[in-house]
Amino acid sequence: MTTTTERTNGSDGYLPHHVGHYSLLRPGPRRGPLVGTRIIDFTWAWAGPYGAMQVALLGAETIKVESATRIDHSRQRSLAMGSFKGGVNQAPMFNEVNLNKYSIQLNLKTEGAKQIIRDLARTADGAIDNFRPGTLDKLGLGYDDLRQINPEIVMVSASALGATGPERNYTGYAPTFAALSGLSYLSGEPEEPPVMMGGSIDLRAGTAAAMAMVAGLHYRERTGRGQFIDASSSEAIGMHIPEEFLHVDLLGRDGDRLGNGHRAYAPHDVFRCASMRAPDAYGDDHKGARTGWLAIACRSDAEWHALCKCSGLDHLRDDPRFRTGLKRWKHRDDLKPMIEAWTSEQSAVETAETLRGAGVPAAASVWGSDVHHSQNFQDRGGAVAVRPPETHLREVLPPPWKLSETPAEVVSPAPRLGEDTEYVLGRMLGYEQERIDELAQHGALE
Amino acid sequence: MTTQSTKSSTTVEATGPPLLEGIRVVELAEDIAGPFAAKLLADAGAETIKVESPGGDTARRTAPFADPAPHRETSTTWLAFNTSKRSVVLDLASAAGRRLLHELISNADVFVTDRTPQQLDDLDLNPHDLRERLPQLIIAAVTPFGLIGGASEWPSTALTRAHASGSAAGVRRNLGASAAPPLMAGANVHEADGGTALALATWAALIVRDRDGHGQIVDVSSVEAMMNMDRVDISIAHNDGGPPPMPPRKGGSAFGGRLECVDGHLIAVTPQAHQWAGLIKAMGDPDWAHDSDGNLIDRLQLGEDAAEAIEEWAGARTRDEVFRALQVNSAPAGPVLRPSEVMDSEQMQVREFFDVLEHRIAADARYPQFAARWNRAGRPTRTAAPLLGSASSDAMRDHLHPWTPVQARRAGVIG
Repeated sequence: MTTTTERTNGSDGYLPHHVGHYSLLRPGPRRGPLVGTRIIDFTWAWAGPYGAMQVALLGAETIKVESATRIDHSRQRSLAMGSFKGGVNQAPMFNEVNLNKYSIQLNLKTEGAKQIIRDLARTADGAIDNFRPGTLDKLGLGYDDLRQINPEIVMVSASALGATGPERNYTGYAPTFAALSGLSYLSGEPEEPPVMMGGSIDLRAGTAAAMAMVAGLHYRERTGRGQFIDASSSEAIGMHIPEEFLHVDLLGRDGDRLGNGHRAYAPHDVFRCASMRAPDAYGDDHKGARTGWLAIACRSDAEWHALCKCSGLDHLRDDPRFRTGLKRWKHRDDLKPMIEAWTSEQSAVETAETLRGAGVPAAASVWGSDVHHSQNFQDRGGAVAVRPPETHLREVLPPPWKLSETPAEVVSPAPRLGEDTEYVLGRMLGYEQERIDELAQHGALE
Repeated sequence: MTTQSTKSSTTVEATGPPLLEGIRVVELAEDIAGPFAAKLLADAGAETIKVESPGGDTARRTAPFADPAPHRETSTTWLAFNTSKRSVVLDLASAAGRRLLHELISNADVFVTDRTPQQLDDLDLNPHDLRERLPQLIIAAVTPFGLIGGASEWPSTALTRAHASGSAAGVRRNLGASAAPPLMAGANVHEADGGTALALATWAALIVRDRDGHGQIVDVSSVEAMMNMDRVDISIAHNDGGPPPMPPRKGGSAFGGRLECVDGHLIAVTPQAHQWAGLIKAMGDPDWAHDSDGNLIDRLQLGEDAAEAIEEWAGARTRDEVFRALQVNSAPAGPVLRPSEVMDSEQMQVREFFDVLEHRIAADARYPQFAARWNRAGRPTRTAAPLLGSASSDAMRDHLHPWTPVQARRAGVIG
């Protein structure tokens, strides 16, 4: 294992430049595959911004259009946290889905702001929004308007249920996308109600929207044709669970909630541990010590036997209830407390390590800082430190891809509201200062 | 503004070539993440050859099956993640089999794989060597922990990966019950995250490749792809000491949450003031929601009493009644639909989200397509997952000139 690391790191490492912490301020030079691409980002909340952020991580110059008259509410609150007590430039959730972007402050109800969008559209490769279908059209800034200015523009319009169909005007958030796609129904413990899903659903919808944009940009590169792409966030979640729809047509029934369980394997669950880490990982006061959870999955007799050996539960090997995979699965409810009696004396991180060493798939169930502390995460470059202007240094996750020749990178924290208005108007569009002042006077830059 | 209506451009029949027409993909991957990435490319029109061992992708042995008896062509997992591909069987234990794989890869634009660094070395497919040999090739790898890093060869399953990423802990947070164990989301959604991440980055790499001819290595760790889906909450826990605990509601939050209707559950989410007002309006503007001047009271102030009143109101109605009542008042909501109800919904049918694909052994069935409609790029004809080895002979003929299928079969390298 170690040799593999040395080989790949040593001969032709393609770890990103951010290895080692430094503070990032404004969008710096980019090296990603979409360098040279300009995107107008009309999105807000989480799903749309994360979609546009992925394009920005891939190197596109991404200009977020915002307004003090209609503040992106992820600058102010989240479903899970409620209201955010700090200012609009300090919200951690906003930072996390708007890295690498520029922010221009425009009141799109004014003619001056509309003209700015038209000027931007002339120079842009793509635009993305997640309004209700038709919202930009009503402002005179829909696809039909923008393509008159720039026929090659690629426009992704992501909405809760898509731009067509009887429910096209319905609105939603992550939990409703999961509900409408079938995923919520399938999530949860077998005997409990379905789960209300959270933010991860938005980010999945954002990933589908980003893929649609990249596909559109690729198509334009090959054919010279722009296009309109109607993306549905509920379909984006449905797209992730194709096998569940086949159950309906081929088996004649819906799937079940399995919790942490499996249709065929046992043990296949999470087990309560004494702590997350061994006692010496904490100070004398045990500050930070907390319940640990250990995930264990045995797919074969060999893995089961190895688990028995590591856990000192060797006698279970010969127990007729657990002799075969099928028997272990049938008697999984008997098995669980026996394994848990052992894990409840152990720490999750170290026990997972021991089990993996013996060939048993196992992992501590991590969260928050534990994610950052994983050695493999560090081996792969670790977190990126950014300093949003009005708050403290933050360590954020790097992009989920490592590209060897055109690396995707975090190059800046999320922008302050309207932070780049002058830069975009002056430097990108070449407006004279006088004109910018005039636009401001007429309320276009609010 | 022009006089053209939105509809004219957004609903126009797409007549251009499919998105990835002419792109050739070779896949050496099993189960979900790698196959899903290749399926997304294949469904978009890329000519995709899936290389399987004589026993086939492990997903072919994953229950449930279309018929109760296991059959290598009818696993729903297999069928779901392998549409629009062709299957070539190669015995990679033989040197000749490996040589044929190399030849297939030499003719490809993208090589999708889920093999670990050690396994790639054993097949003489070290990504860095491959990159030197085939500079135009995109080597698209999705492995549990990534190609780089000390965990690259660790044993893992979908369960342990979901928990190792923080994703399972993220699901539990939304239940508002922190004492309960972390929980995987349903279906195979965590594994699918590795597939979408790889497909997205590969598509971006294709832009570079088509522009200047350079390929590259795309290294995706499934665990990191999952981690990114929870990046907001992970960041807050790490940098801000964690958000305040969830409100002590059973399944939701102060903004609505999971409601039990007479025929199942419904999710309502109303974080914005006008959405909360819409919820109250849908309920018939009850007195308790207003102060003595008739103004709407802030929902956080109303707290538990309001939550109970909302639950009572929803509990006396069907999901559909509550759903429509909330949506016409701009309050976001969605019934918790069974997959079968999703398929039957008028919305999904009007949008043709599902295609019926024919399969020679399993029955014809409805398959979800990509979650977007392109108004220019033509929709390629999708096909159901291939029968094991059904394209072996064709692939030999098309791609491997020195070999005839008969020769290759005689040499024992194809199925």
